[in-house]
Amino acid sequence: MRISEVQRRSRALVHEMGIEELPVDILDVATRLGITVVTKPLEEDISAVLVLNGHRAAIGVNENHHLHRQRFSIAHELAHYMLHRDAANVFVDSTLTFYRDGRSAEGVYEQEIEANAFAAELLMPAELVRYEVKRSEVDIHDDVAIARLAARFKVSQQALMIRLVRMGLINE
Amino acid sequence: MVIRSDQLYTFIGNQIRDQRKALGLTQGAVAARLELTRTSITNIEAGRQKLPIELLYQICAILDVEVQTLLPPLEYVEFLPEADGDVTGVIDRVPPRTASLVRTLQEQLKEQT
Repeated sequence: MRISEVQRRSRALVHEMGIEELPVDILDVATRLGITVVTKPLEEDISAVLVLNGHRAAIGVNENHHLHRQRFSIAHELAHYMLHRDAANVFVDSTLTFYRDGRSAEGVYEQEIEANAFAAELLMPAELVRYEVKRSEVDIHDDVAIARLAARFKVSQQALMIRLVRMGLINE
Repeated sequence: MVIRSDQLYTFIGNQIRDQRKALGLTQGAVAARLELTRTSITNIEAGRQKLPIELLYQICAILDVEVQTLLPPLEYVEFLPEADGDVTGVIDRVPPRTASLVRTLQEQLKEQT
C-alpha cells in the first residue's frame, strides 16, 4: 500500500470521527470502532497487542509505558485494525521485533511503516498540526516550544519531530 | 511439577542443553554432527524452534540418551485451552505476560460472540 493511500484512509477516519480538537481522544476513537482497550503491565519491549476474532477486536497496551507512548501504541494498533486485519488474528508490537501469526510473515515491515504513518496522521492530523504551528508561531528549533506543542497533542516529542519533518515543516 | 503445553519446547530445549553440557559438548559440535547451524541449536535449546521428531531422535543419539529423558512425563503436562489454529505459533515466541494477555483477550472476544 502506498503511504499516500495510508494517509488518505487515516484522514478519512479523522473526518468520520469528527476530530477537530486537541488532544485527539484516541480511546473514544477505539470505542466508537467497537474496540475494547485494556492496559496491563507487559514486558518492557512490548508496546501493545491487537487481537481479532471475526469482526470483534481488542487492544492491550503496556501500562508501564509513558502515557504519550501508550496513546501512540493504541493508534498504531487501530491502524493495524483498519489496514491489516485480514493479514493476521494477533498483532504483537514490540520495539525490538514484530510478532505476527502465521498468515503473513512477509510484508511485516511495510505494515509497521504503514501503521506508524496512520497513527501519526490520526494523533497529529495535518490540518491541526499546521494550525498549531502557525498559531503558536513555534520556532521549531526551540526545544521548549516543541515540548509544549507535543504536550498539546499528547504525543512524545520524538513522534512530533518525525511528524514535523515528514510534513516538511522542519528540516532534518 | 506442571508444564504448560505451550512451554514444552522450552522444557525440552533445557533438557537438551543440560545433557549436552553434561557431556561437555559445545553447541557447535552438536550442530556440526546434525549438519545444522549453531544458531539452530541455540534456538532449539531456547525453545524458539520447534524440532521435528526425527531431529529429536537424532539429538538423542548424539547425547546418548533415550528419548523419554528429554520429554516430560504426560502427567506433568497441563494442556491449555485450544487457541485459534493460526495463533499458537505466535504465542510461543511472545513473552509470558503478553502471551497471557493475548489469551485473555481471545477468550473475552469469544465470549462476546
